[in-house]
Amino acid sequence: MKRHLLPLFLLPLLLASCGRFGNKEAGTDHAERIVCIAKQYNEIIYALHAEQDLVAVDLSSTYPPAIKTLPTVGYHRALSAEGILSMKPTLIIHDNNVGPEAVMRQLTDLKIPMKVFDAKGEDLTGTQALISEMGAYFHREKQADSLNHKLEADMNKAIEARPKTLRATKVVIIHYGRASDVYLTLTKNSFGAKLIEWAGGEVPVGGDRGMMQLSAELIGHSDPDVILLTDFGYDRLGSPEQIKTLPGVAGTKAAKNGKIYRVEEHDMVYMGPRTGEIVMKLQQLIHQ
Amino acid sequence: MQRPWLTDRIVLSTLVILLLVVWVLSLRFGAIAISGSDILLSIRQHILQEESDLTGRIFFDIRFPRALECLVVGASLAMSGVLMQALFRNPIVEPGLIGTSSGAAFGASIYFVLGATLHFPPGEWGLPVAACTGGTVATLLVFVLSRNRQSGKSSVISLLLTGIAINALFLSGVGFSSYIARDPQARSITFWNLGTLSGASWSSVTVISITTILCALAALRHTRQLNALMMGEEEARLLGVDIRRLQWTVMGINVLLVAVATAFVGVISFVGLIVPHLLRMTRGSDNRFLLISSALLGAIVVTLADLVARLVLAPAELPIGVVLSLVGVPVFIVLLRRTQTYF
Amino acid sequence: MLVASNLTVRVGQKELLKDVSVQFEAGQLNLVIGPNGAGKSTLIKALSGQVKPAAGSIRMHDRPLTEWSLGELARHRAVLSQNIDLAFPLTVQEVVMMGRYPHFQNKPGEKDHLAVQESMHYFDVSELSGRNYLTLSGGEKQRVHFARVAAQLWYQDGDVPRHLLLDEPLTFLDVYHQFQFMHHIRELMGKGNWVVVGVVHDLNLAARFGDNLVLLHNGAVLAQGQPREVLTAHNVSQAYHLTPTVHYHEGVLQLVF
Repeated sequence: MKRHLLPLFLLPLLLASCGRFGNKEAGTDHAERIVCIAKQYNEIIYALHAEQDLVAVDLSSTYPPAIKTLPTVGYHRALSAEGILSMKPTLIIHDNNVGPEAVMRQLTDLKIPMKVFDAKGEDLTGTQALISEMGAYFHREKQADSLNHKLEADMNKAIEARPKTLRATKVVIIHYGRASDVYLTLTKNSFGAKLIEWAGGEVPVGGDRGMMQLSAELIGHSDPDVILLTDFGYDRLGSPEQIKTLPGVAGTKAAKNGKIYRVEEHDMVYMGPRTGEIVMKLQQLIHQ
Repeated sequence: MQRPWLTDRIVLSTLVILLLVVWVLSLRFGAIAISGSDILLSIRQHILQEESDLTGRIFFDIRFPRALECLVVGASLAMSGVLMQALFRNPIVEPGLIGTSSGAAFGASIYFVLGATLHFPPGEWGLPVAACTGGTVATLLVFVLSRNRQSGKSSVISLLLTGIAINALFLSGVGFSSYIARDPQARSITFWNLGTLSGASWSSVTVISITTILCALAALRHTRQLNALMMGEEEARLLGVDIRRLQWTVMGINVLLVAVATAFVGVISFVGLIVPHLLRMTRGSDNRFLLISSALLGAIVVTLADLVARLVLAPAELPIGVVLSLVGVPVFIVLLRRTQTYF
Repeated sequence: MLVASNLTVRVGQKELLKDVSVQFEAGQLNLVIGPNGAGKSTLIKALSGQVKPAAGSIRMHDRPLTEWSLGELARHRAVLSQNIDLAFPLTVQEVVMMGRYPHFQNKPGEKDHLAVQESMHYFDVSELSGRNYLTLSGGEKQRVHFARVAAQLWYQDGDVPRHLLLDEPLTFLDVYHQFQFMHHIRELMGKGNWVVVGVVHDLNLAARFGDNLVLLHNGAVLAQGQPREVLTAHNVSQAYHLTPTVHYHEGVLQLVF
């Protein structure tokens, strides 16, 4: 009996050994111990070179690559108090998109210091404000200024370079692959759509939320010139050839002209110091 | 060849010892290992009302109530499994079948969606109250709709069928809510449906403990009648059992047990199904024995599952539902295949 | 005494019992006979209160059956139904203990344990005590249920006689156990005030053990009284469409078909 059962008990361990879970912390001394549960903040912290006090992040923080050496405290809406506390944080930084509520209450009750930055980094000025605020917080004002300058310059350059055609290129961004021919796509209201706009394109998907489940018919009907897939969906589907055959996708101009590309999720969902560069990259991608 | 059955005493004392061991482990380990002396120190400081350090506070405010919540949630879900199986005379019935957990899930999903769009301040009790209300409404609905219009009675079959239908209805309600929800809320609904004890607090433990203990006492008064029911409703009536009253009482107890536990920890399935069944294999189905031993084994299973959920991905955490199915289902199937069953 | 007056039982349009009036005295072994579909089981179900008559009334111990509460009935009347099975595994002893459920609140008392023990011994199932009921053979199960209903009525409660209704109790038994059972029932009746009504199929067995026979045919009483009055060639051929030769030898009536 034991022989039969042993593998079953080992299963969770196997799970633990894959992916980003279970990373052991490198034995460095920290003045502060910061757990930061917000992907946008994390990218800015690295850009400010303020990451030395960062001890853990959430699962969705994947940029820059160096961040993957840090332990993760799980998905930002399924946190556990003990897990966070085991990192012995002296500060928790988050952007209010955290949960479950009960856990946040536990942390508040234990009087763990928490920080939410005031600036909402949703557009250029907001992001610059956020970078400045974070720069001030981490005493990296100079670094923040230069990031802001670069961001603004890049953005100007990108918008300058936007092709002045009559018709904007139609781009559909598929966020996850598909489940029974339903695609999770970014809408006009998403940050991704803004990027495409700056890059001289247009997202033909309406909706008041940032993402929407779209049927194959609607994808086909919108007939995009370019289809972008974020990393997870693209990798799961494999190659552009594979993707071209999908229902809805198959008949589009994008499929006919072979304009199906892979983009990184963390480039497309929030604004950060690299956004200007990303817009320029997107320009090249969708107009080539 | 049939294996001889174990005696009550052997089964129960084994369970008690196991429970103690598992429980101490769950107090001791987690994302943070807290040593035995720290545990004692923390408890002493609390009794003497002294100021304690962070580890002490983590133990007393997070670990301790969570370990206790595992016990009462496990006990209450397992007991409700026993009650439902006895009432429906069917070993595959589980507590969710008469709509309670799907109703609770629907209540919770409404809370997540409305809480996000209407921006009303719900406070600490918003989610449990929404879930508990959903669970109760769904169960009442099942009960009312399954009543025969002529006789005013609910037959077991019509209860089960109505339960399945109402379950489907409320689960599609959950699906709809997560569809119209913004992504973060949709994720919250998903995680809630997998259950977690990470939100345990002293207030939630108190509420669950009180209902669990009261329900257990009430249920223990009906174990003989439920035994008689094994021969069928007619035979039970011949032994003096008022079937309709028994149905209402046991349903009421079950709703309380499941709705309250689910309200605080989310949907934890499988415990109510597997635990009574495992015990049937050791000692038969006397409901008095089953109720007591299931409470113990339910507590053990949930405590153990929660411990695993806390440890494997530390400092992150798995939903307990995932652990229970991942480990529980294969174990259950192996046992089922190895043991002579009688159904 | 158990009395049914002008009893009519209907299911849908079909009349299962038509205007049946019968009387079952204490101290006698009352046996109900008749061909398949004659209404024997329906009569037992009506007498036990399991089916409600469309017309007529039943009085138990001179009180309308409808006035007895479920609990009261269970303390004074036991019913052995056909085809009982258990939904879950249970020890034999626990099944027999079910007979005592009407008599205690939470925990069985000394008296209850004693009744279980004695009735199990009486019906020869003591050695099955710890076995799983679901693994027993048909005959063993039947004997366990004898013990259960006997345990239910092991002690007389007040001055009400014990009422025992048996619906085809001999079904799964071999000839030896059939005779054994009938002897046991007679022996039990000798020890107290009992009203016993049983349904049997075997006419010779009925003739041998019954004090009072009721012959049912198409839901009506064809004849009732002592075996010699009821089991005439005429009555039997009318009910069963088979004419027997009736032998009467040394006080024992025997039918040969």
